[in-house]
Amino acid sequence: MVFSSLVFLCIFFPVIIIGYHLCPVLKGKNLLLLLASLLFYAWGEPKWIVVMLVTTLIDYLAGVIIGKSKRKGVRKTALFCSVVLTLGFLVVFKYLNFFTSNLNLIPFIDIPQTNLVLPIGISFYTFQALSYVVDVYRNYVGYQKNYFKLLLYVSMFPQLIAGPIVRYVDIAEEIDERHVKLVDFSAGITKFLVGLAKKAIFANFVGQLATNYLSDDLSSVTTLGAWTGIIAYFFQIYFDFSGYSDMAIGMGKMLGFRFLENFNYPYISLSITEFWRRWHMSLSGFFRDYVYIPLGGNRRHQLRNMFVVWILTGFWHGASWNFILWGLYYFLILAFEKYVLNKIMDKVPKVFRLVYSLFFVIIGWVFFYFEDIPSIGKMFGAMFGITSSASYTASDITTLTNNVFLLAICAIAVTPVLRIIANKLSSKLSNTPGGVIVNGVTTLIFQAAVLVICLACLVGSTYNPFLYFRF
Amino acid sequence: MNETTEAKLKLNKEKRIYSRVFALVAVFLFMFALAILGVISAVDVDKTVSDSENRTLATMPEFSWSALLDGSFMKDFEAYYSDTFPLRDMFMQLNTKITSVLTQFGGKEDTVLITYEKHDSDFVGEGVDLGVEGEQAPSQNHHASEDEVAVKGAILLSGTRAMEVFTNSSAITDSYSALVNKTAQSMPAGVQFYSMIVPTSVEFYGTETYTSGAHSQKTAINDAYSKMDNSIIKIDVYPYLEKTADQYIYFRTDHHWTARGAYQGYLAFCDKTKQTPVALDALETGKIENFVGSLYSASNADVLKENPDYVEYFKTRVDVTGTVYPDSSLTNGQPFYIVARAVNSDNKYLAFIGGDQPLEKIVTSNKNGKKILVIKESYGNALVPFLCDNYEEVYVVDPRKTNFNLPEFVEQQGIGEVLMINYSFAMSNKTFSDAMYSMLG
Repeated sequence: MVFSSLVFLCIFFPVIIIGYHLCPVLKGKNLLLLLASLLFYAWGEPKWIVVMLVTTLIDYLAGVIIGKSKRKGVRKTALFCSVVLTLGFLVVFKYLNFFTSNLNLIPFIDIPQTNLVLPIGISFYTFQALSYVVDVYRNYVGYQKNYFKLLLYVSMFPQLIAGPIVRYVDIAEEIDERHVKLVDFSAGITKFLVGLAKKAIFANFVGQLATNYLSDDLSSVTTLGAWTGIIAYFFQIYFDFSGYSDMAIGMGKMLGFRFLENFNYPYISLSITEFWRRWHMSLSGFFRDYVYIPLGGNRRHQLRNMFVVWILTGFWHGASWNFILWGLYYFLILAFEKYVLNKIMDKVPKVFRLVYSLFFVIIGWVFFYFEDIPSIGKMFGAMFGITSSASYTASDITTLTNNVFLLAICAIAVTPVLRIIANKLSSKLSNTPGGVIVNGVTTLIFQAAVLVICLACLVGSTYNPFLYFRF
Repeated sequence: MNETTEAKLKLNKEKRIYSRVFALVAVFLFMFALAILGVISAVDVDKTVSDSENRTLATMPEFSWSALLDGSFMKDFEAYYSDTFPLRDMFMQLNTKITSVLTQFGGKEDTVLITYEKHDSDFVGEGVDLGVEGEQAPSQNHHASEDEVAVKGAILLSGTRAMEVFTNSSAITDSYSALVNKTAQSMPAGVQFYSMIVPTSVEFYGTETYTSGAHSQKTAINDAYSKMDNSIIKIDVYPYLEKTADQYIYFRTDHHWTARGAYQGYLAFCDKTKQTPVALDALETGKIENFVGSLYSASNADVLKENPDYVEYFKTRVDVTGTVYPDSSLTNGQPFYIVARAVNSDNKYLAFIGGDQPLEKIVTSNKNGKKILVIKESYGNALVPFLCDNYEEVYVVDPRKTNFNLPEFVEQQGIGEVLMINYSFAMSNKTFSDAMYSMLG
């Protein structure tokens, strides 16, 4: 199930939330949430739910051993085994065919391909489970004595299939004690609706514009078409992914969990380094804490460590060379920024830094979008007028004018402008009781309008993919 | 001092209460709105056909363990749920408004370009259930399956007329002329082969930008003809349509030509083959009202729905009997109407030769021994009735609907002439060309 499906919105979600809040004891709430999460997962992945259950079991057992044992050797072995097994599932399901198909390029090697499909969300829940074991090993958090509570953490439906990657340590206490205040619930609704709007309104419309130009056959795309397409995709991927995160965080709030933010307006970054501090923060945080720092961080072999992290970050997004290239691309830019650009950045006017950052982020999405290398070449050829058939056609211009309003509001919506205005207004209003009423009514109208518009978009749309589903 | 603190506390308390009340209202409204929609959808009576979209809606999938395990049950359930969502028509209308605000901004001279996902299967073609005239059941629309190629189509909306934007490339005319050549070469010796490529409405009613350069159908059609063998007789219908563009020769809400348009194709054919055409005013005629066609389904533009087309039909002058067969064995035939006076389906274009059928044989009261085979997609449908006036037997084959050895069939039936008629968009259609190649033996 996806959050933006009508079955989720109008059946699954209200039933669960109402049942959840009617349930008087936490034990019952937890049980309901666990069953709901398993149903949610099985809805989209009825067979491979087993993988998630087993992964969690392995990491649960490892956690118990590590938590109970005082002996360093035992603890280390348990950690080692659980990491190998947990990652093993990911490797088998996600990367095996990639490795074998590349090995098969060598003469005389012919390894048959498996026909395993990638279980939904495996890249996300694997990382969550791993962070748990490692944190127990590091004594950051006590081990979980109850398998089902750990399973609840791993499988919790808001964040299960497309992040954010929540760390066990962040919600360990909330599993056993949590309260939902009315104002939190209401804030959760707003957050959820903002996320839904990002997805159902912005991402879907701008996504159609993107696929319009970035089809498999790039031979007829013009320079203007290529840029329109990739800029549309640049918007789509942000609204799609951050919308999903917002919905997850909003639902968490309604259930009493505080998930950390995953996006912080990445498209207003003034450098690529800053971009990665604002984009998919739970993933970069994971690689920082579980790969980069253990390797030595910036104390020793910094360049090597960065290289490893960025190759892995790329590879995490998909078992395909383009993602590795994408990671390598960011490694090069980040290294260049670190050793060269950062020294002069402060003297450069902000507007140039913004243009610079956006330009390289947009170029980066080309590597990300096209999974075959020749298409990447063709796309760059078209974008920079080397191979394109023409710089533009009449229908490109019409398409662009038709969509200019959509692109303009997208450009506004990726900045914090609207949020700043809304916050200013509501803090001004909350000085007086009358203001509080005005604020409350406005919020209600906003929520209702967003909900109706989103429902209309979802009922009417045939195009409703989640980009981060395949990771 | 104390008083102000107290007043402040009181104020704060009041504010807290208000914000709580509003939070409570928000929570209840939100949860109830969703839950009520959920409940209504569980108890309401499901519609089965969407008139506005001209298609059958998904039905509740049947439960089976295998469907549950491979996930198809859930997928079908979601499709069913979305198709029977409460207030669906209202939401659909709102969606159309939102779409037009977001993606049809700044259209010049009320011309907007609507892009839509076009599936190869949209081209599979529709046929009516054969039976009593006017009593035909609406046929099912073909839903695209996931592995199908989806390409982007663009629809130009100008006033009350919608037109699909045509874009040519030399690869398209190369592959189409190769197909026609191969088909002609496969035919038995002595068979006269004709090719007719019909332009669509955008060529005559679109703005200049959509009729020139790569968008020009004239260039594309002439280019395709020039790559065909000399032995193939090219029926150039273009000037005939251009001359009569002020008449009702194309639908405004559908991608087909009208019977009047097809008559121009018939005139072009008769002129080229030196036959005498039947005069249009010699034929019994009538109208089927309220036709909102494929371009509305693709664009959802309200203006089309509010201004429907009508189908004008012309009965044949000669007596005709038509039989549909599933394949070349000419068994299990069913009668069909060459021209129907009424069509029960929303797709009124089905009035002509019963829509797209595998193989049709029409025997006329002419006794001239002339037999012609028409290879076509739906554009041929409106043309076939006119041809009946000049032939004793007319065979019609839609390669997407059947598969047999066509050259052998032509030989067996003693067919002397073969007309391959396609509209310009069919040149690039893989479903059609694949199906055609597989019939050449």
